[in-house]
Amino acid sequence: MVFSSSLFLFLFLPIFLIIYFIVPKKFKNYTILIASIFFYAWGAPKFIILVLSSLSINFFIVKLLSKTTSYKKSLTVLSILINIGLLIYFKYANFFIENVQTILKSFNIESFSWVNVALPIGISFFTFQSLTYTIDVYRKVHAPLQKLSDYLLYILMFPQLIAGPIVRFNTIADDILDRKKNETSEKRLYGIYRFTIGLAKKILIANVLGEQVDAIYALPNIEINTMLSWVAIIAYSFQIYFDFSGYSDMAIGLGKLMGFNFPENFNNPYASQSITEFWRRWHITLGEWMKDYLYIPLGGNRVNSKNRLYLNLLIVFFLSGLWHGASWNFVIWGLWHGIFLIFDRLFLVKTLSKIGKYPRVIFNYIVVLVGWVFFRIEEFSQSLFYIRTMFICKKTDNEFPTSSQFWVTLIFAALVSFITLSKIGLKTEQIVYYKKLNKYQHIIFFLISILMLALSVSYLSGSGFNPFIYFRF
Amino acid sequence: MKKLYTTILILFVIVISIPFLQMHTEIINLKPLKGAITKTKKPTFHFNNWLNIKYQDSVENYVKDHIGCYSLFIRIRNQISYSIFNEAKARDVVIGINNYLFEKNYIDAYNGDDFIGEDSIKARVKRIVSIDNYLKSKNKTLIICFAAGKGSYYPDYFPDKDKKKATDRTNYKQYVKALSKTNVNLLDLNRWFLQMKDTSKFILFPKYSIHWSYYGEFLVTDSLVRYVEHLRNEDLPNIELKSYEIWDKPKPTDQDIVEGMNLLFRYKEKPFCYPKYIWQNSVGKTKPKTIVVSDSFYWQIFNNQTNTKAFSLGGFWYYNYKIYPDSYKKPTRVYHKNIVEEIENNDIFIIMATEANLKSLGWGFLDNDIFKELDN
Repeated sequence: MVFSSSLFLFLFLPIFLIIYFIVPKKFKNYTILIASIFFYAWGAPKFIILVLSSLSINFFIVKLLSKTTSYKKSLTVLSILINIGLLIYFKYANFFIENVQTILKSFNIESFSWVNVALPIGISFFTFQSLTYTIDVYRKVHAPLQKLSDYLLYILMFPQLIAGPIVRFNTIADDILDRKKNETSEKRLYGIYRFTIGLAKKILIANVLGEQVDAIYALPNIEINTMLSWVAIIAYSFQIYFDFSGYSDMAIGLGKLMGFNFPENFNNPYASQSITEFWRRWHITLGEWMKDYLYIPLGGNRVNSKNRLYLNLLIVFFLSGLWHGASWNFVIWGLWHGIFLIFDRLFLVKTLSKIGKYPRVIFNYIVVLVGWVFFRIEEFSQSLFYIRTMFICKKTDNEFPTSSQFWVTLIFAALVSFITLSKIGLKTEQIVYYKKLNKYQHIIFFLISILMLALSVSYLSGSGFNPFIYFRF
Repeated sequence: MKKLYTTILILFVIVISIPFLQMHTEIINLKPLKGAITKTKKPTFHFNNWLNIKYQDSVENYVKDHIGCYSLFIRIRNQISYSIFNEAKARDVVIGINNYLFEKNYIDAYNGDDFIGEDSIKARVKRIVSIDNYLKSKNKTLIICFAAGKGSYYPDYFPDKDKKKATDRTNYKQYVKALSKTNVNLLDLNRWFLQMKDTSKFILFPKYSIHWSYYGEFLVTDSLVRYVEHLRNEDLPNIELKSYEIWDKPKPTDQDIVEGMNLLFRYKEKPFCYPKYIWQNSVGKTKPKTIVVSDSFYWQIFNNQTNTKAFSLGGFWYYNYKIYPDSYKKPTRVYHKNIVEEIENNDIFIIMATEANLKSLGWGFLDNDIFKELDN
């Protein structure tokens, strides 16, 4: 069940909110937990038992490690192994076997049969959350939760269960126990506004662009020309941004409705002036997670040699790519970013500092676009074909997309994506997302929210195209 | 302040609850959607279907298709697409200059993009001539009738990308050319409409419709009956105009494309004339037994009661498939009929088509075995 579905918007959400608002405080967490288990069981019924049992085991291991001193490290390793083990098995076993079979085939060795393992939805996200729980407790950043139900609530909370943001344990640990300070009607209103902004971003922008992107990438190579290849990847860059950031907005909004403050996941990534900056603005919770739980334990910036530093960066981005999907194209995408992060440290930031802010943004955006080609197209040779077509002058008879709705949406998406490069844009963003509103502004924001909801639902009802790109991760 | 915020919050919950409540109660009376809409059937729960997520997918599709206010949502989206982006969400609808609406096949027909070739048309005309001779030998009448076509009527309003140099290689022009050289009765209403275009006081072809206007149909009904009288030298009941009303806002039938586009609003276009008339008493008059094989351009003529007030027996063979008025009571198909008997029992055979349908004129009627044998 995706947030942008009639079932969620008009059935699940109102029923949940009514019950949640009515029940006494002591039952609120149970209400969220039951709704979340139902939410997960709806989308992945085969895995709900497995998920619940593995989480329960992890809860007791962590509880134990918090109390003991002698086996603390061993229990931490055990907990990490269980989490990572499940992720590796469910997400990467098929990929590993496929590659082994390819290698065997190249040596003319008969390959073995293998039944593909199904991927439990959201496993990449909740595994990372579960790991933060173990590690934060081990590092004594926060005491463990006392009740299993609270731990399950932290991991399975439906707003962020499937596609993030990756909420670190210490970020919301206190709110799980008591979030009275957040549970005011006014704060909940901000949740409504944020949710409808996310919904509109997803349905009115990402979906509109996505349909055209899919249509272009479905064309045979012979029909692809230079302009079309640029249009496709630019549109895709905005599709994935508005899709994923829209989902994050919805998750953050739903969190606010329940009194949780989930971390921000995006901060105008395309306005970045370097890849290093891009990764501080794109999928922030993943970047932060990778930094704190992988890059720093590898030695981070404080390593003896620069080569080691670069290797660490490559490892982090190799794994970051792999986290997105068990496919080489994601690995290449991750490495592409990793290489540019190294270039930033070697010479790029220094060199580009001379050319001015806007050229830097454009250069960085082009680097990101090339990366998106690898991300969007699974086959490596096909990615190279598209990249080559982007940079040579190839003409075909094929016309541009003629849909004016596509072009208007594309231009609007571009404006919104780069708007914070201007002072007016920054101010607008502050008003839309962060400004404390007075009562008249609340009424206006509410009416706009209802309008956006109506428009989004109208487009949702009339279209069969409603994929969530980040669901498969 | 807190009261206001709580009120807004409650309002939000009410707003998102409305579609589900409407789904089950239908409290709000909403205009249903027009056109062929396939909706998901209510799924039944099976444990295995739940395990493999088929049940969940079906439920999500079912709720999407059946949620209350669905028709309103669709209309909002279509209206935005049309009014803001100049795009039609209905299949094959083309928005022309000044918002003149077309269907793609009418533009193709005018541009000759669906041209079946001179040889094909000559062969069809040869068959028609054989059938005409055969029917004449039995004192029966064949009429080939070309309904007006929106492509021919408003080519200046085609979108720029569809504007092509006028060509003679169209099914309509080649049929007219070939049939004009024969003795087959040809009623070319397309040409007649073009002749009236600049002089008609009222709209003959509405901007937002693919068919001729109610007023146009009235003229066609009258002319068709008089044409039959002339050909058969018989006195048929005619229509008598009693009065007429002038409307700014047309009836839904005069905005059939807009109706099919399922928009929120209807559009003004003037002046629309709605004649009020009666049929003459049939006492002392002849009501020839007539089969009309036609596309949708005959619908309003049929609805004018022509088949019962001026003609009799045969009925309206819609696309040579369904037979009306019989199909109103029970499904009656042409293939249920004995064609030889039908030909023996009727006097007049009218084959009517607009330019977009000339590529398959008669829809198989001309290819009945009894007619095929005439080729030998």
